[in-house]
Amino acid sequence: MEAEKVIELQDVCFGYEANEVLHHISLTLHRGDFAAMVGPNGGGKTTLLRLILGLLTPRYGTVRVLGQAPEKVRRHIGYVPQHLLFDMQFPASVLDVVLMGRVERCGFGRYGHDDKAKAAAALEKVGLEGYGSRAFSQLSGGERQRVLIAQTLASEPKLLLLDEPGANLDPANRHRIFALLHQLNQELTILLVSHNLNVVSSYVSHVICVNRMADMHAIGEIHVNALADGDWLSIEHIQCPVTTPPQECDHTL
Amino acid sequence: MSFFSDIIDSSFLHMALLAALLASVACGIVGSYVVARRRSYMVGAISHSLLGGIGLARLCAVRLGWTAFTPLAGSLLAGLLASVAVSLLTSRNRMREDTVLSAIWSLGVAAGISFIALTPGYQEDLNSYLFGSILLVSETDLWIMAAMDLFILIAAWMLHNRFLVLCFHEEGLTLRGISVDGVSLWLHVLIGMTVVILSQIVGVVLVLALLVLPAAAAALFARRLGTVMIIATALCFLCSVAGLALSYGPDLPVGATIIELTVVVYLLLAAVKRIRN
Repeated sequence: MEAEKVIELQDVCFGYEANEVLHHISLTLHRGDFAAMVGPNGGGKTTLLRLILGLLTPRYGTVRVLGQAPEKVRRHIGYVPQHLLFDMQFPASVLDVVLMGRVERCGFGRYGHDDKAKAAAALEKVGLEGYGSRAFSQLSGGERQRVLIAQTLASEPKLLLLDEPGANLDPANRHRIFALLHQLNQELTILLVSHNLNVVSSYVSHVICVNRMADMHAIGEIHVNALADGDWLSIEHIQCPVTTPPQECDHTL
Repeated sequence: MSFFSDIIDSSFLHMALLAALLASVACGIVGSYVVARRRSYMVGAISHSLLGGIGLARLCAVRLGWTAFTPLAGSLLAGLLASVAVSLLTSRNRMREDTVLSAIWSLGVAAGISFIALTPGYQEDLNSYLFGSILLVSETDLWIMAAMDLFILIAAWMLHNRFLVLCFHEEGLTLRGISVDGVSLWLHVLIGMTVVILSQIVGVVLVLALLVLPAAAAALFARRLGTVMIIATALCFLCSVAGLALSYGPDLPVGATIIELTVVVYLLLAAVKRIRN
């Protein structure tokens, strides 16, 4: 029996005003997949994530997550934006930040015992047990990233989306994050954006090349040239969509 | 005339101290959200819009004899209107927030000037609306301030978790299926009410510093927003009472003295933080 489809994009086009960013994208991720989106800056990786989250609506085509429209299943999606987007001086403890993943469950008033227990378990999963009362602003970049992952785990997601989880981390911390994700992949479907294919290739099951168009490949199909800068174009044997498609998506809704 | 000898039996001073205490509670709670969400400019716009409400209340009282429409009621009306207007006009990026705030800021002052010009008679008390009159707070005003404080306390207790996500990562609310517009509207209403309460102490022109600086100073040292609120409440009360005491003997303007003290305290604490680091 085929595994459950977690993400399904059919013929999706999207653009900001006149500028088309994604052109006829069709992709399917099954339960248990661990996929990395790679591609040049401005190629549409983050836009694709935001379409999957339902924060953007495609001009054409359909996006289904867990078999439904994305905005209906958002609660089952854990999303970790780039950690540099957060206010580093924000006065919150680590536990406060993790509990934010359960904000819609607690209703009004204070978080309950169950919420706190789930938050503590999430911190333990990312290897930060005992960090709950520390100030979020005093953590290192790698620790902050793990706290944000714990925040999404506290929401008990079925799908985890991450935007550049290794960005601005030193190699040791970056590998620690990816090793953690690899371990979480035993229970969760994961899709992440990465700049560096070399870093992710030893952890992921699939690679999606995104540059206006998208191609998905199982990791076994590709070989990665170990270039120092991890250039995404150094994939052998496959055709990644590096050329710009000749015509704009002409379907309008 | 000394502050410390009069404080025993002057009912004016007792009421002023009570007003300062009530204002400090609202200031500590809501100021912390304003600082965490970096919305000081919104406080400036809403506070200046109060002048329109105050002017309207004066006009109605003098021309139409509506004595129940007090300047406090007028400023509450204007504060709530301005908060709701900011929420509606800026939700879903309908209009740029800084544009909307600039318009509300100036329109409030303009409406105030026009209403006051239309009001017959000498406007001797205009200064007290602009720069505060903590010593003129009436018992009715105190009850209204207490009711608003209670409302703010209950709303903040109920919505604190949502406000925290709104301030930390606005999109986080959308992703958890909660309306950002709804939560923002509640926060803006609380900001509007707090501005009205604080304007009783330091006037509409000086509210901005009193609402923002105690929380900004507290945030330099506290790890959690709840702690910021407690420290900010204490700092606001301290500065208000010290400002009142310092200005009392030499008969200096109270509102201005309170603000000067608040700025000095903020700068001192910021220096302490720098030295400690």
